[in-house]
This record gives sequence, structure tokens and C-alpha cells, in this order.
Amino acid sequence: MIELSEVRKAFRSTVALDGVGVDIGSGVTGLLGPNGAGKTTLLRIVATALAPDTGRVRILGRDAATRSGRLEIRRRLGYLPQDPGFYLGFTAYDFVDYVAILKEITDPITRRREVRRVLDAVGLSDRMHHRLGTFSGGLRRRVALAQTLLGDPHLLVLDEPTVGLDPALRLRFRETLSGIAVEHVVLISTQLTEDVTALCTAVIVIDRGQLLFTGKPDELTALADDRAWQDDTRHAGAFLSWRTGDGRYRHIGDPPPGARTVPATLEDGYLLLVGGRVQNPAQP
Amino acid sequence: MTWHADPKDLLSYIAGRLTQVHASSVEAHLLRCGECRDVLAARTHEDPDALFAHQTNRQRLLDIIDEPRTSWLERLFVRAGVPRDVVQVVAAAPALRHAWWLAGTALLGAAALAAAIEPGSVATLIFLVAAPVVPPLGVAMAYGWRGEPADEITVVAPYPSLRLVILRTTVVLTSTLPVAATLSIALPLHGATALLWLLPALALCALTLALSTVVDPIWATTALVAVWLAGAGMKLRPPHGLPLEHVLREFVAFRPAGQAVLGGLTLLALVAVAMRRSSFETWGKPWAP
Repeated sequence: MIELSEVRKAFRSTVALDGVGVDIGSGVTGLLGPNGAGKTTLLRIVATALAPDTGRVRILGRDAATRSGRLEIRRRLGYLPQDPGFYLGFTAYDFVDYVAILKEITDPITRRREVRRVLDAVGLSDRMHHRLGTFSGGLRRRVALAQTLLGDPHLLVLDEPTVGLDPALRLRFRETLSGIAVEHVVLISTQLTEDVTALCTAVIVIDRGQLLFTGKPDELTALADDRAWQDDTRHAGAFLSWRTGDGRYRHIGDPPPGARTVPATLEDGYLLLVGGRVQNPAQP
Repeated sequence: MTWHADPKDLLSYIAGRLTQVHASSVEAHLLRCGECRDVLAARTHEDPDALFAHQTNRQRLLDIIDEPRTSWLERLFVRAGVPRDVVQVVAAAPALRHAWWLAGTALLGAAALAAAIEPGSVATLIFLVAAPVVPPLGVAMAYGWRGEPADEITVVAPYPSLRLVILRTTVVLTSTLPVAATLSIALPLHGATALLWLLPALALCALTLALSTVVDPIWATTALVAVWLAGAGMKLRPPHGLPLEHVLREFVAFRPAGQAVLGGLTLLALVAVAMRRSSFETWGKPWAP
């Protein structure tokens, strides 16, 4: 549904994406990577907000390099930018209503119902007539999230959608997403590996503009199989160690002989992968 | 109404057949009375038609409550036949209010200056030089900073970006040009001379848009305004008793040939804007054609 091949994008001398090629199918795909890995650049390209320097971008079967292709993609797109700007004098309702007009929902009655529906989906129906200037960062984030749901888009591109949501809302949001994701394409970037575990059917890891992994969450977890162990003391030879709640140490890396290995988590696999300690066998 | 609502009234209420006064008295009772609410709920539960009618009425009510509030200016445009969604898009232009404020203040300030200084020759010069500067500044402000993420949602909406840019530019022009034109009537100049600022203003606006397809609109307009002010500053001197028309002819932009060139530049810039319209779609490098 989303096909990128050899996509490269540089901002002056900084290479944000260096020849990335991925195929993303329907369902929820999580994009993981450290800060500055190129996640936002990748999402902006998929959302047609940014043109790559080179490479091909096909989304929902349309070529993003043509104007008509982009229009068709945009008609089916809901996009949450990393840092959306707001007109602070607007109410939440006004803002979403404005985006609804730009999304070609011109009939006033349909638009009103749709705006109310999406604000309700993010739990803002009781505050929709308050000005954005009076909203906290988390509330504004929810308004931005609401506009992505307008018109039930086929493709959702969400840059760190769970930032600023409290645990209850995050749960509700995950439920909303998994509910719509069956035949839709959802691409989210996140810093939270738990988002991926809870939500995603596929996961992509990039670092320094390059693709490190693409596959199922289980496969990312499997990279850390037999590489996570627990001990009463800190082990100097481990790649990473941290003290857990029960006062013991959890290590990942190459376990010493006789180590008590524990079931790996997705986070273990991710950390080992980004740390260069393991490679995805499926990758070239 | 006695202790409870008349069941017949409840049925009529569900079907939306009551008069407004009658319906609101039933509603007032329903708010206080759990039993009648249960009757209502049971009735709508067993009868899909009643439920549908009730939901439709509720929806209609919500539609009225959610009718967006509009400013008097927006309502004026709607009365004048401009489609409501166009008005809303235009009204949402970032910093548009600031642009209006800026335009109004600058122009009124120049006019006040012209009125205060006798016999007004220097002030008139200032007005003729300053008036063309205000609209392009408004255009750049209505358009925002390139690369600012504020407009990413706008950019990836299917609404045509060029249409948006043109709509907002039109608003800036219709809000600034009439003000400047009205004020120029008060100038101690004859006929067309009082409108010498108009073509420079249009040219600067069109060139701002054209340059905005390459660089940030704020830089574009700053550079253009600087060139305009430098040119005027070099050529125009205080009249010192000379007729003002004579002084104005020193600056090429105020001579007929210069005005013709400005008109031509305006058209060329608009053609360039149309040709490079895909750059309004993405911030930064346009998509390959």
C-alpha cells in the first residue's frame, strides 16, 4: 500500500534519509528509531508534505510525484504532523471545521456532524467550543489528532500520536486505531516500544537515515532471544544493564556462560538492533 | 402539566410533532422526572421508527447548537454571495487580522501625517512611496513563514494550495487597496497622479508571490520593499516649492513608461506563480513535475 524505493532526502549537508526502501501493508505499522533517525522525514514524505530528493514514492497505488497522484493520496489521508501549528484564537471546533473544509467536506450539515464525531472520538466533545489558546499541550495534541480522523481516511500517518496523552486516553486511542485498522493503512512513529507491542502488526526500525529492520513485532523481539538475562549483580560485559524494581539487574547483550536468561521483550530487540549488536537476518 | 407527562404528549414529542413551547415544557419535565424518561426510553426502544424520529430530532438540535459563530465581516461576505466555506477558509488565514491591523495603521498613519503637515508635499511623497509597501507585507504575513510546520496540515489537504494563496491575497488586497484609494482622494494631486501608487502596489504583491515559490515569503517581500524604498529614496527629494508632479517624474516608477513596465511585471509574475504553483504544495523543494 505504501511503497518507497531508494528514497533519499537531505537538508543541506544533513542526510535525513539515505536510500530507504520499504513496503508497508494494511494494518498498523510502527516506526521506531532514536531521535534524529529520520522518522519525521519519512512520515512527511509518505504524507506528501515533503518531496524526496530522489527515489520513488507510491502510496495506495498512486505515484506521489504527479499532481493528480498526490491529490488522490491526499483525499484518502489523515496526517498528524509532529508539531502542528494552531490558530490560538480558534476554538477546537473552528479549527477542525476549517480542516474539514480543506478536506473538501463542503456540505455544512455533513461537516458539522463529522467534526463533532471526530472531536468526540478524542474525548473533547465537552470542550469543543473553548479557544485553543486556553488548551494545554496535551489537549491541543488531541485536537490535532481529531482532524486526522475526518472523512474516515484510508491512510493515517501519525507522528508520535501518543505523546501528551494520559494512560487512559492512550488506551482509548489504541482502541480507536485498532478498530479502524483492519482494511486501513496506519503508519505511526513513536518513541514508546510499548505502543508497538500493544498496537502494531508490523514494525520498521530506522537509524541515521537507514533501514535497520522491517518485519513483525515478534520478529524484532526474537532478535533478543537468549540475549537477555538477570542477575543479582551488574555484569560488566553486558551491552546494557539496568536495575529492575526488585533490585536485580537485567542485562542484554552476549550472556556469559551459565547466565539465567529471561524472555526477551521488543524493547530488548530494538536496543540491541540500534546498538549494532544484532542484525536482522532477513535484511540484505 | 400534572405529576407526569401525558403519554400522548411523549409520543408526539418523540415524533417531533409538538409545538416549540409545548416541546420545551415536556423537556423541562423530562429533565426532572426519571419515570417519564424511562417511559420515553421504553417507547423508543420498542419502536425503531420512534427511535429514528427521536434521533433525527436530537441531531437537528445539535446541528443548531453547533452552528459556528461568525464575525459580522464573515456574515457580510456570505450575504454578498461568497460561499460560506470560501469565507471560512479566508478568515482562517494566519495572521490575517494582524495584516489588516498593520495595513490600516500604516495607511492611516501616513494619511494623518499628510493632513498634519502643510501644504502636504513631503507627506504626499511619503504616502505615494509608503502605500505600495503595505499590501505586499500583508500578502507575506497572510501566507506565513515557509518551512513553518503550522501549515503542514493545510498543505496535505486536498484543497488546492494555489487557490488558497490567491484567496488570501485577494482578501489582503480588498482590505488595503480601497483604504489607500480613499485616502489618496485627500491628496493634493490631480486625477490619475493620486493613483500612482496602485501599479507599484500590485507589482510588489505579484512579485512577492512569484518569489515565494523560491524563497520564504517574508524574505521575498523584505527584499522587494527594500529595493522599492531604496529606489524612491535615491530619486525623490523634498519639493522645496517645486510642483509635486515635477518631483515625481524624477522617479522612473512614477513615469508613464515605468508604470507600464510595472503593469507588465505584474502580469509576468502572475504567470510565473501559475507555472510554479506546485511549490505552494510542499514547503521547500517542489515535487518533481
